[in-house]
Amino acid sequence: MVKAGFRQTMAWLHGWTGLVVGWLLFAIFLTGTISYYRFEISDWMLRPPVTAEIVDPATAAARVLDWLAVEAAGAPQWVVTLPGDREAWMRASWRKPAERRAQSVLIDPATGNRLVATDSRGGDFFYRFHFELWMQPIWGRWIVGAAAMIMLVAIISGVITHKKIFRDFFTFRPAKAARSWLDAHNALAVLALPYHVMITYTGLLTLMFLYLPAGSAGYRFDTNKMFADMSDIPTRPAATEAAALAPIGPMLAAVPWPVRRIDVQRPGRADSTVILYAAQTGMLSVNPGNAIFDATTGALLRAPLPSSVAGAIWGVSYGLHLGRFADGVMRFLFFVVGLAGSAMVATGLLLWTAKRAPGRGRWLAHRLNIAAIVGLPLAVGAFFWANRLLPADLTDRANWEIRLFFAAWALTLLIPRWRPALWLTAAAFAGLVVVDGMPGAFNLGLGLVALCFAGAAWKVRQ
Amino acid sequence: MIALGALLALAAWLALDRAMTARQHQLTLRILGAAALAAAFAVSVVAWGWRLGPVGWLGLLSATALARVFAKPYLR
Repeated sequence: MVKAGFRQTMAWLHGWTGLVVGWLLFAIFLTGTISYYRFEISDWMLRPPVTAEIVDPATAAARVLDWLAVEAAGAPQWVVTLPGDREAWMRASWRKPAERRAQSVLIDPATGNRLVATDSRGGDFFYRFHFELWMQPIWGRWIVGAAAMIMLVAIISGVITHKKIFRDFFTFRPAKAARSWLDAHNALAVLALPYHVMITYTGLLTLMFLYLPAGSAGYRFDTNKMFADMSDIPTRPAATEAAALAPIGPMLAAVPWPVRRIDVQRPGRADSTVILYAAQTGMLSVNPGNAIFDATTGALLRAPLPSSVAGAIWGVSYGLHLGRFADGVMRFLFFVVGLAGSAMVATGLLLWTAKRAPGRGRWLAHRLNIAAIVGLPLAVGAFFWANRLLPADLTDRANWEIRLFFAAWALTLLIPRWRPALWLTAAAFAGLVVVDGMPGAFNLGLGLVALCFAGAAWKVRQ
Repeated sequence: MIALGALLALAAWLALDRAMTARQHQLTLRILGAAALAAAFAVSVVAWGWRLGPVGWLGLLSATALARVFAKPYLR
């Protein structure tokens, strides 16, 4: 047997790793890219009737904590998210000991009342799907982790396989069958390579405590205890007698940064603590700082710590992956290169099919390509349509939106050709803009999506 | 400010692309391209600060390069 060269071996590795997880990777990549607009999607789908009035954070925080004291008394922990640049509302979450699922509601900062929004998962659906695939979280996270690991292998083997990275840097030759798909695949990969490497590697890092549990072996794999030690939350002697929460305003004023999240542990008890988390404004790290207070006296228990090197690396990696530090323009750039990543996976799959002789394998790959590459966007359109069409009082409404998403996606397996799939997707998004009728940046975006798919459908005919 | 950064990045790619096929002035074009990339970096840092600037710069480079490469065959 002739010994294959290193580059041929890498080409073989790249081709097969890409094919094995390609369809899944496309779904992970695209839903992750959509998640850059998670809050905007939630706003569009949930339509919470927020009072348009700017409230200072101390007043808003006091209102939501008052609400929780009435509605979530007895819960072991409250988590509050204050209004941000992209979210006009506050979020309050808690889990009562007897209840299996955590509760989460939206609170109006201007009134302190609960906002009755449309029952929908909104952008959170795509965010969750991106790393849990809407399965049992632990299974989804392992599958996504394996796919991300293979993605990293595909990126490295792809760079080695690509012989003329610099010579072909600006090369794209359209309408030349497989040659064009290869050019497009190379350009999408090379020109956004820093992003692809960053997003795949930091994606693995976000769940590194799951994928590399050896780090917590010293804690007998009790990661909760390890996290508690890492975050250096002072342990306090248990005191179960009732005690009221001290005013939150002075605590917010005692930290040097704007606060985004407030955790209250053991609310209503004498040993209760308040943890304030810094907003990510202008910072790459997902956790730029936190401070801990005695909830009953308001005394500072632990000042913000200077971050350790390892903690800073992890925080910045996680922050880069989520991109929440980004302003409007930078968010759009993240979105564009995220789409380029999705398109890189898609063109890789198309290239594989284009180079195969007709047969059963190619037929299957072709159908799966349509269902993945156009089927997923079409299912996203169906999800949005479900949001606008399902009656408001339907029981389990949020889950019906998701069922319709998966039903629409499954049906795209029946579409045999590209053109009808592309036209259908264009029509779905164009129809949304017409039906919704509200002018705004989000609907403009939906319109652009419709135009892109219509353009692609028109191109395919030629 | 960010629009200026994007223009500089685009100009850099145009110069570097031209340098690949140019019969003469190759070195000048390469120097111009590299200078425009550096200027785009400076503009990004001014616009976004030292923490976020380098991230935004890479984003501008990728987005403008993709725009250049995929628009190129249709602009002749």
